[in-house]
Amino acid sequence: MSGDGAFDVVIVGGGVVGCAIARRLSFTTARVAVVEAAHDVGEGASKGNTGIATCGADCTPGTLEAELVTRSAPGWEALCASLDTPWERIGTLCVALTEDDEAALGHLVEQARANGCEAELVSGDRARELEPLVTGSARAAVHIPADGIVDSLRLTIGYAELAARNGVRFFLSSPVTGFEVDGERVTAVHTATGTISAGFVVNAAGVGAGQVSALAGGEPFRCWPRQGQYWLLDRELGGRFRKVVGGVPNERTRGIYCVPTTNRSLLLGPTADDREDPDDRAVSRDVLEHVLEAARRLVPAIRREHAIKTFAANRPASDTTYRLEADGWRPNLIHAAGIRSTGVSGSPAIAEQVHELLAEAGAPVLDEHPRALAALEPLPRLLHHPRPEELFAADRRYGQVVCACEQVTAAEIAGAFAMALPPRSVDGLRKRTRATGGRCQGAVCLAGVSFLCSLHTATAPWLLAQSEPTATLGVGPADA
Amino acid sequence: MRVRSPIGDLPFTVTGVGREGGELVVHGELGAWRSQVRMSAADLPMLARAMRGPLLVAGAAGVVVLVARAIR
Amino acid sequence: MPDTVVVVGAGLTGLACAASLPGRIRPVVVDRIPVPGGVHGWDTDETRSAEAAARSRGAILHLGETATRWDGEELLVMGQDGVRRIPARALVVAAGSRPLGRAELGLAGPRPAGILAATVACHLSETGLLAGRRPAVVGGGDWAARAVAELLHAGAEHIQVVTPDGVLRRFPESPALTVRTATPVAVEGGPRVSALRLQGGERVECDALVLAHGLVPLRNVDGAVWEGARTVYAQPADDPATVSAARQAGAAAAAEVEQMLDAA
Repeated sequence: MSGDGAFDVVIVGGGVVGCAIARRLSFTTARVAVVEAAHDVGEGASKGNTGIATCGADCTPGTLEAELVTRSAPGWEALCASLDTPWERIGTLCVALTEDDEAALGHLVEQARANGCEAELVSGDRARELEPLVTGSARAAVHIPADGIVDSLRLTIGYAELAARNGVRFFLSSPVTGFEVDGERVTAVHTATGTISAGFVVNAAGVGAGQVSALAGGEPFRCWPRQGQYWLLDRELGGRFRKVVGGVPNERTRGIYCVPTTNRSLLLGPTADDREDPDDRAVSRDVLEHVLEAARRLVPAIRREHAIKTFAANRPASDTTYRLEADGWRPNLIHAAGIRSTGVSGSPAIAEQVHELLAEAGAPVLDEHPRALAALEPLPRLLHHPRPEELFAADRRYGQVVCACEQVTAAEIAGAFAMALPPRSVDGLRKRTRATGGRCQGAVCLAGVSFLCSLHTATAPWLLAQSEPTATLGVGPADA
Repeated sequence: MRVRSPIGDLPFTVTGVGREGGELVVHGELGAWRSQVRMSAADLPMLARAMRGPLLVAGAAGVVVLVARAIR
Repeated sequence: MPDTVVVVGAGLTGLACAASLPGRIRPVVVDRIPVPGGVHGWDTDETRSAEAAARSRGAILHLGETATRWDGEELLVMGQDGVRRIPARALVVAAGSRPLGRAELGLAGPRPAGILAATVACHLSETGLLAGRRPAVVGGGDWAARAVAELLHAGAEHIQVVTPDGVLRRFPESPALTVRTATPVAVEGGPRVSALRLQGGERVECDALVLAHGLVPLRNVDGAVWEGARTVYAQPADDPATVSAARQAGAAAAAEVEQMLDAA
């Protein structure tokens, strides 16, 4: 992909925040580009999180984070419908297991109400009525009905897809190597695949945001990886949940959650351990055991045998949380950095805020694009679909189930390859369709799925990547 | 005929061969699946290359000759 | 109107079950693969005779169609001709098994590319892809033996077999093979796997890791994943597997179904 071009706004970072900003700007006549270091959008914390879109109940009141998360909260139904993204407002139970927990519940309710969020203190029995899987030892709980679950991979891809359809250019596998500067303004972005000129730059680079600012000659700040380790458990268990179940948050961390996902698998996590290497995504037995034990204390029905996958992901921690402002030294560099824990939850309002910051800084983002798409055409999925006969009548490829664990059909896979940002790896296909992401983790379907990827991307099988281009499936052709 | 596919070794039975416009259409059954192989002149170079590579279909030599004759 | 019992899986176990059901029951066998035989293969005498026995008992086979949902009364199946709804008095799940995955083995470390289930490594070898030149294979039974054979055939130069349970199937004597009994605990590497760490600290360098240890039943019918209404599971876990174990499991499942229907 040639990198040369001229853009009014260049967004550095194709995670959930960068892509939300791209979507927002795609409704204007500005020429916008996103540069992303990885081979696909949503490869960092945006694909490794619990998938909760919090209404903001446990944000610190009065902070920018609380303001933007609570402002985002009411709009999720409409937003996700427009982005063909699964979403359900199922609510959270913060369960008190100990006296200390119970004492903290009152504070949690106050905090929620200070943020304008509905929260009710309930007894242990009432908690179990709302969610029968909650432990019999629960003393009390706070119920936060407005919290929701969202498919964060589909959300990030949905933001990006709509932006791309509206003309935003995505430069993937394009890590930023430097900037050109004229006086105090940034004028161009150098990437590994070429240079593009930029009227304005948005720094949404997640864990790399501090480095981007440094390269641009902007204000110095630090970002570092805050690692979370997770378990993914079987749909059969997650399908029994009605609520997100968590413990009682403290100052340091929100704690471990048991989160049913939108396709009804179950996520446990996250932990919160500062690391140095942003690529350190190794899981360790003792950390995973800690997560499992914490989860089982909340929901005793959880068992190790239900586990499908374990993984780690790094959230961008920073010395300033929610650094949303024009840089003090580079007036046309807008930071959207330090979004540590609520990137998903805050993304809609963060995008609006960045749009305003760009307008204030003089970027041409005020005129509406007359023919911008407001919504993506939904692609129906077979899993849980109430009327499979209708699906088949619309497209016979719904009859070909390729991934049996998640019931992903050839129609859905073809739909993914027809996107403006199609998959470029097996994992890219998994993010868009869930193929290979089910309980057998591809043991049955990976060969067939990789064959389809190979065909659709016109890549020889031994060059096909599981994720990044160098992460190939195999090492070469077999002996004939 | 046998086909090595990503889901394993499968029998391919030809049930009919026809010509539709500039294409040769081989109707067949891959086990219980109905399938069609459509070939045109543009496919000949690929078939010739495939005979040297790992995706060798038993009997391809005869098929290539058949295709070449049918569509020229 | 005979009672229908639907069997998911047209391998030796499923076909044996269909052939063993009493005459008053009409067996319907469904398999997502368009040929019968499962891991035993379609082109073997045992499969041919198992299919013949099932058909002569009146079994109807729907091959190349995927069973997706069971609600205790009807099985929803997707195929090339669309949706098939099969009303049935009971469901038998005879869908085979697969080796343990990463999470099931408790392997710590990152998630580099090149870690494949043995099922995948074998299929990929058959379609022309070499998983690794110096792969490590975890396991000592059927899938490990099969993966070793496929990998050597595809061009692997040296294979390190690490088997937690000892050697269950005899591996070929070959300078290209090293076999040790040990338990894997972690992987290293990125973007592709570069080593497997064993309990006790030893590191096995490798450029691919094939997971071929243990057997987990395959269950993909919603409503019958760990348990299901009027559902019987027939998934033998012998390693090495034998034709007789498959036939016995099938026959036992048929007897269980008969009991279940009589008790109803």
